[in-house]
Amino acid sequence: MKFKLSMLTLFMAFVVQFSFAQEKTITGTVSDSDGFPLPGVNIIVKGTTNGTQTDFDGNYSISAETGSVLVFSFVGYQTQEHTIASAATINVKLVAGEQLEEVVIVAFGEKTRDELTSAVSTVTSEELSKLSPSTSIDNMLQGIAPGVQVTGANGKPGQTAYVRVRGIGSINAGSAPLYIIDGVVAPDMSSVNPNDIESLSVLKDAATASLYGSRAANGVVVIKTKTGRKNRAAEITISSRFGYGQKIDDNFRMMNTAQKIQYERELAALGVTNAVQLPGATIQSDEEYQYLLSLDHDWQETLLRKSTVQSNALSITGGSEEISYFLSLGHDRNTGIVKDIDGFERLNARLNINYQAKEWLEIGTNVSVSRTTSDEPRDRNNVQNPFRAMYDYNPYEPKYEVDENGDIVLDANGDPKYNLTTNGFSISEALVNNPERENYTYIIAGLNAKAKIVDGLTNTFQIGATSTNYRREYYVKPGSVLDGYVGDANNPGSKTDNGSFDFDFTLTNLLSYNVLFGDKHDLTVTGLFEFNKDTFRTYSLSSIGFVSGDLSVQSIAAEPTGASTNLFENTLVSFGGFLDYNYDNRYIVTGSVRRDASSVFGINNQYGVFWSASAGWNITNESFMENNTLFNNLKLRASAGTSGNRSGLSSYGWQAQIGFGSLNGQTTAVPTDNGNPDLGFEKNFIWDLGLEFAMLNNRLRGVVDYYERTTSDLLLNVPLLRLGGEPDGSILSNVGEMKNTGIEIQLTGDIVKNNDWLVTLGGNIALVDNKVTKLNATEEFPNGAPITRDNGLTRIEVGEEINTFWMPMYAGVNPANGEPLYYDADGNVTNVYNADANVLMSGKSPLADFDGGVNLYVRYKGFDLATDFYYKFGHYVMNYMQSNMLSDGTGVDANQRVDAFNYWRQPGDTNVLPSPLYGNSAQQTSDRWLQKGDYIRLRNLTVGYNLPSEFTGQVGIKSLRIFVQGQNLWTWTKEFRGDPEVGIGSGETANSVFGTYNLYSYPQTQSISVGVDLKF
Amino acid sequence: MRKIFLKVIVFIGLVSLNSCTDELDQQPNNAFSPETYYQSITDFENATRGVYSGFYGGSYYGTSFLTLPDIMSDNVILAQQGRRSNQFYNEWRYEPNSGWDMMFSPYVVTNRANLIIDNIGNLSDGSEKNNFLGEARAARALAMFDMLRVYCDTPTQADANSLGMPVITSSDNPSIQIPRPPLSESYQFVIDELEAAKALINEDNGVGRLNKNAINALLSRVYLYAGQYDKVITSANAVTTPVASIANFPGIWTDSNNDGVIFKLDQDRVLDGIAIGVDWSQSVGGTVRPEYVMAFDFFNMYQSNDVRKNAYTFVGADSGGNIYNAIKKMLGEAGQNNGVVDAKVIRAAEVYLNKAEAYMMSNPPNEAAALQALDMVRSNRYSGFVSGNETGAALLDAIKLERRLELFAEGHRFFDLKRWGMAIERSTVYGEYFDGSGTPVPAEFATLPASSHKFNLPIPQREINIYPDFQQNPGYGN
Repeated sequence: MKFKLSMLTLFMAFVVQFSFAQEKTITGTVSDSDGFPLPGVNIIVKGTTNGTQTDFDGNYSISAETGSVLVFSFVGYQTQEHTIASAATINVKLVAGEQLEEVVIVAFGEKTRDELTSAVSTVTSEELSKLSPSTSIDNMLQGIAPGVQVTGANGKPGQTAYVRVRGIGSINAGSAPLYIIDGVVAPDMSSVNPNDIESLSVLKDAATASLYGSRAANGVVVIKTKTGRKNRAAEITISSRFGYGQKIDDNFRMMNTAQKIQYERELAALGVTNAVQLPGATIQSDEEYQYLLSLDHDWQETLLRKSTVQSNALSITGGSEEISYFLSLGHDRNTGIVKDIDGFERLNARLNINYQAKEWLEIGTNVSVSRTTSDEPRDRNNVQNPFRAMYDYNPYEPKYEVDENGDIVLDANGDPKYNLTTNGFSISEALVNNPERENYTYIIAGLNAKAKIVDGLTNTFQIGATSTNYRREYYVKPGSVLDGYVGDANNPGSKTDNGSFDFDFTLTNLLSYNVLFGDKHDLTVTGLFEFNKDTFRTYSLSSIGFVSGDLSVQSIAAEPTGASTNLFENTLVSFGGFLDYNYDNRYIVTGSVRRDASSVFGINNQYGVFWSASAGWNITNESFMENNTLFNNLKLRASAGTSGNRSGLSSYGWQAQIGFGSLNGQTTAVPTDNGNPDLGFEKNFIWDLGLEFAMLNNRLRGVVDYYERTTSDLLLNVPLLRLGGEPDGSILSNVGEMKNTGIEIQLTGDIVKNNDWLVTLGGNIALVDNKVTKLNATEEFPNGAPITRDNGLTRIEVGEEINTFWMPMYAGVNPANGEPLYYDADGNVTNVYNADANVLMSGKSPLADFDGGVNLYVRYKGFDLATDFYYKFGHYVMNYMQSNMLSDGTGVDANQRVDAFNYWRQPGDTNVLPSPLYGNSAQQTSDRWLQKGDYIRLRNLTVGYNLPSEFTGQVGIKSLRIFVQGQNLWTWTKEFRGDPEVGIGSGETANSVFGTYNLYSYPQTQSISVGVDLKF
Repeated sequence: MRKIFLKVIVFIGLVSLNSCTDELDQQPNNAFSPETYYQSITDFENATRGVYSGFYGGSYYGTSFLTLPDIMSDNVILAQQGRRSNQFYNEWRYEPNSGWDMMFSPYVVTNRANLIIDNIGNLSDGSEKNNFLGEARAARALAMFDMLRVYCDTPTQADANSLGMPVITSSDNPSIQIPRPPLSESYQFVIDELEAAKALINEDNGVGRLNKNAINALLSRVYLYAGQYDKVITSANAVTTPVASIANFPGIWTDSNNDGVIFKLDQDRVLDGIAIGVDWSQSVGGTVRPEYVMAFDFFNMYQSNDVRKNAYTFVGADSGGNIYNAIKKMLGEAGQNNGVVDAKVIRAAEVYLNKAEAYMMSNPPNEAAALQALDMVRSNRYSGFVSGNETGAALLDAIKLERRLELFAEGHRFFDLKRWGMAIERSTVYGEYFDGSGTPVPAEFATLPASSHKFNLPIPQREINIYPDFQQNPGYGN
C-alpha cells in the first residue's frame, strides 16, 4: 500500500511540474511518404531536453518558443528539422532512409540487420509489450521466435521455463541457453523485470554464439535493458496491471458424491475388494446416503481460489549533454490459486547510467536489484500436494470433521478439527501448518568504460558481477498432522533453514580496431580477454522442538539436528579474436576464434578452442537490383562454427577425491570419486543456411533457416566393473553424439495497411528432428548401449530420437471377459502382463516434431487487438494422472473421473475400460497411458485503446493506453486429457526429462487483467 | 591522457592475466586428493573407519547380507500382508539381470583398504602402522570371503573348475578388468591375508574394530568353509572371548551389552540410522507390518527354556489383527522398532560351534571335545541346561541344529546348507501366523535341491555387459 501511495505522489508531482512548463503549443501529424501516420516518432526541440513522441495517429503536440527548431527522428527514416514560425501546426512527411537501421544486439555489441550474417531472433520492447505477460521473460518467448521452444516448468507464480534453442543439446548436461544481460551472465530469468528490456536477441547459430565459447552450445539469449537518450527531457512511464487468474478448467469431469457412491457400490458388488469397506458399499439406509449427499463439495473449490495478479512499474528516463539514465522500479504480485498461502512477489529496481566523461571516454553502469518471495505448496506425487489432493479426496469427505448433524467438530482449543480423510492427511491443514517459503535476492551489476584510444581503436573494459542469495525455510509446526507422523514426540515441530550464496564475477576487455579503406572495405578486428570466477556457498540448518507455531527461528529450538555448509569455486580464462569484414554492405564475412581454459575441465584437457565463420550477401544492395521493385530486402547467409557446453561439469568432478563422512559419530575418510582427468566440455558444431526477405513495399517479410547441429563428446556415465571399487560404479566420460536438424520459417504480412487500419498476420514454425548417433560402445552394442531413463519409461538409443518411450504395449480390452490385453515380447496378444516386454516406441518421445506461433495484430485508429496462439505437435506424454483417475478399481478409495463408469460390463462390450476385476493387471506401465500431446493454445488476447493526443496533450501526458488482456483463454488438445503443457511432472522428480509425464505439478492458469500504460 | 589510459589498461591486463591463470587451479573444499591425504595417524584412523563404514552398504551388512541368507532358506516365511520385498529371493527367482549385487560393497571395502595399504609407507614403523595395516588386510580378506560365500562353491563341495572372485590388491586402476581366478586362489588369499593380519594387528581395538580375537574367530569360520578342520580348532582355541551368558543374551540385540560379541560394526541410531532390520518388518504405531516371520516349524524348535525364543521373536499383530511370530532380532535398540542396531559380524558362540563341528569333521572325530564346545553354547542358552550327551551322527545333528538356532538372522543359514551340501526344505503345511495357520509356502517354492545352481548367486549382468570375459556361474543362461 505504501508503495502505491508513493507512486501516486510521484505521479502528481510531475503532473504539476508539467502544467507550469507550458509555452506555445505546436501540433501536427507525422506520416510516411505514402501518407500513413507514423506513431512513436521522436520530436525534440533542438538544443534542449524538451521532447515528445507522436501518438498512434501520428499526431503530436509540443510546447516551444517561436524560432526554435523541431527535430523529427524515427528508426528507418531520415531525420528532418523544422523551424517554428507563426503557424501552430507543422505536418511532416518522413522519407525512408538507410542511416537509421534496426539495430540487433549480438555478442559483445550491436549490428544492423544488413551486417548480420547469422540466425538471430530478436524481440524488441515494443513487441514484448504485446506478449502474454509473465514475471519471467522466458515464458513470454513461447511461440515468438522460431527454433526457440519454450515449455513452462509449471503454472506456479514466478516459475521460469524450459527454453530449448534448436532442439535438445545434451543427455546429462544442461540444455538451457546462456543468458547475458547487458554483458553479464544472468543467474535466473525471474531476476529481470520484462518491463526493463529494450531488446532481446536469441543467437541460434554458431556465427555469433561461438563468441561465448564453452558456454554457448545451447544458444545464447542476449538482453539489453533500456537506457536513456542524451539531450532528452525526463520521460516517466507508469504501467499498471491488475487482474484475476484461475486454474484452467479440466477437459474431463471428476465424480460428485452421488456418482462416487454409485461407483463404489458397483465395484463392491462386482467383488472388488478395495471397494468393500467404502461408504458406497457400507451405507445401510437412505438416511446415511442423504447425509453423504449433504456433504458433497468440489475439492477444487475447497482448496483453490482465484488468484490476484498485480503488476506496477515506474520508470524515468532521459539525459543531458553528457549523461543519460534509466531508472525503474517494479512490483509484481501473483497470489497463486492455492488457498491459505501467498504466491509470488517481486520487488525490483534498476539504474542504468551512461556518462561521457571525456570526448574519448564513456563510462556506464547497469545495476539491478530484485527480491522475490514465494510460498511453496508441496509439489510432490502424494496428497501432501494440494493439486493431487483435489483430485484424490472424495467429494463426500469434508474439509473439517462434521458430526451427524452436519456441524463442524471443534478441537480442544475451539478450532475446527481438520478431517484427515481416507488418505490420513489433511492438505488444508498442511498448507496452514507446514509453510515453506523461498526468497531470492539478485544483484546484477555491470560497470563499463569505453575509450577511443586513437582513431579506429576502441577499448571496452567491463566488470560484471551477479550475486544471488537464496533462502528457503520449511517449518513443520508443532502439533501439526505431519509432525505427528514424522516428528519427535518429545521435541515437537521441526524447522529447516537452507540456502545458498552465489557470486559470479566476470572481467571482460575488448580491444577493437576498425578501419575503412578504399571507401568500401570496412574491417573490424577485435581482441577479447575474459576472466570469470564463480563462488557458490550453501548452508543447511535444522532443529526440532518448538514452543509454538508462531515462532519459527531456530534460536528457540530445543535441539539442533543438522548443520552443513559447502563451498564450490570455478574459473574460466578466455582469449578471443574476432574479425568482421563488410564490402559495400553487399558482402559480409565474419570469423572468430576463442580459447577457453577452465578449472572444471580435466587436467589433460584444460582448454578448448572454438571457431566460427560466416558470410552474408545483401542481394538487394547489388547494382543489378537497383531497379527491382519487388524486393525491399533480400539476403542470403551461411554460417558454421563450434561452441561448448560445460554445464554438465561440476566444479571438481574431474578430480579424484577423498571425502568425509561419519560412522558412529566419528569421522570417516573414503574415496568418493576417482575422477577423470580427461573430462571435458561437450562439443557443438552447427551450420546454418538462411534467407531473409522483405517484399511488396515491406508488406511481406520473412526468414527461412535450415541448420544441422551436431553435439558430440556428450557426457555419459560409462559403467566400470565393480572390481575397481569405484564409489559410484561409473566414470563420467565424453562419449555420446547427437544430431538435431531443423527448418525454421517466420512470415509476417501486413494484410491491410492504410490510414485507419493496420492488420498484420504473422506466424512461425520450427521443425526439428533429433537423432542419437553414438553412445557408449560395448561388446553387445558396438554402436552404443541404450540408456534407460525416467525409471525405465524412456530410452536413449542410437538411431532414435532422444528419450524415446519404451514400455510394454497395451492391446485393449478382451470383449469376452473385460480383461486387459497386452502384447508379449514377440508381438502376440496375451492376457499376461510382462514388465520386460518393453517395446521402443520409435518416433514417440516428449520431443515435439514442430511448434510455433501464430499472431494477429489489428489496429484501427486508437484501438488495437493482439492475439498470440502457440501450437506444439508430435510429442507424447505419459498421462499418469489419467491412470490414477481411471484406476480400474485399484484406486477406488480416491475420487475418480466420471468416465471411470465406462468399464466392461458384459461380453461384447467394446471401447470400454477393463473390468475393475482385473484392476491390478490393467494398472501397469504400458502405452495405454501414453498420449499424443498435440495442442493449440490462445496464449494472449489483448484489446487496447490509446487515448488521442488532443486529450492527453491537454494535461501534459504523452500517451495513455488502457487495455484488457486475457491469458490462456482457450486450449485445444487432440487426445490429451489434462493440461497439455507439461513441464516438470512433479517437483520431486524435477530432475527427470521435462514433458515425459504429468504428476500433479502446479497447473497452468488463465487470467484476465486490465492495465494502464502512461507516459508523460 | 589517452596514452596513460592505454598504459594502465595494458598494465592491469598483464597483472590480471597472471593471477587469472593461477586461478585455474581449483581444489575441492570438502575433499582431499588421494595423493595429499593419508599422511598422519588421524588420517589413517579416519580412513580405517571409512573401511568399516563400507561394510554397511545396503547389499552387505547394511541389510541384505544379514537377511537374504535366511530369506532364501528355511528359517522364515513370507508374510502375505507385507510389502513382499525380496520375494523373488525367497522364491529363488533371481537371474543375472535381477540378482544380488554383492560385488559392489565388498570391492568398495577392498578399494578403501587398498588405499590405506598403498599409502601406509607414509607412517613411520611401529605398532600403530602395523595395526592399520592389519585391519586393512583383514578387512579386504573378510570382504573377499563374504563374496565367495555368495557367488562361489564352498571348497568342501567344490571341484577343479570352481571359480573364485578376482583378488584386487592395489588402488591404482579403478578401471581394472580381470577374469575370475580358480576358487582355491581366492580362498588362499583370504587365509593368507588373515594370517598376515593376525601378526600385525593389536590384541584389542575394541569390539567395533577388527583385532586379534576377531581375526582368529574369522579364521575359524574360513577354515571351516575351507575344510581345514585342524586349523579351525587352532584358531578357535586362540579366541579368548567367552560365550554370552543367559542374563546378558537379550541385551546383545538391543545393543545394551556386547557380551560374547567379538566384532561388530558400530553405528549411531540417529546419525547413521542404518536400519539393518527393515527387511523383517516395519512397525507403525502399536502394530507391526511384517515382511517375513519365523517359520512355524522352525519356531517350534526353540524350546521354552531357550533364552533365544523371546530374544529372537515376539508375538505381534498387524493392522488387520493378524498375529505373527515376528522377528525381534535386529528390531532396534531398547524401546525402538526402527530396525537400527549394530551389525554383528562374529560372536563367540559361533566360534565354539565352528570348533565343535571341526572336531566332528576331523578324522578321526573327537566327539568329547565337540560335545564340550557345543555344551559351552547350550549351557548359556537353556535355563536349567542338562547336556544331551549326544554321540555320533546325533551329535553332529545337534551341532548343526544349535548353529541354526543360534545364528538365525545373522546371515548364515543359506551358506551353511550350501556348505553341507544339503537341500533347502520348507514346510508346505504351516502358514505365517503365530499358530502355523495362514498361507503356507506353495509347493513350487518349498524345495531347492542340493544340486541346484541357485545356491551360487548369479554374477550381476552389468559386470558381464561391461566385461564379457567375466565368467557367469553355471546354470544362468550359459
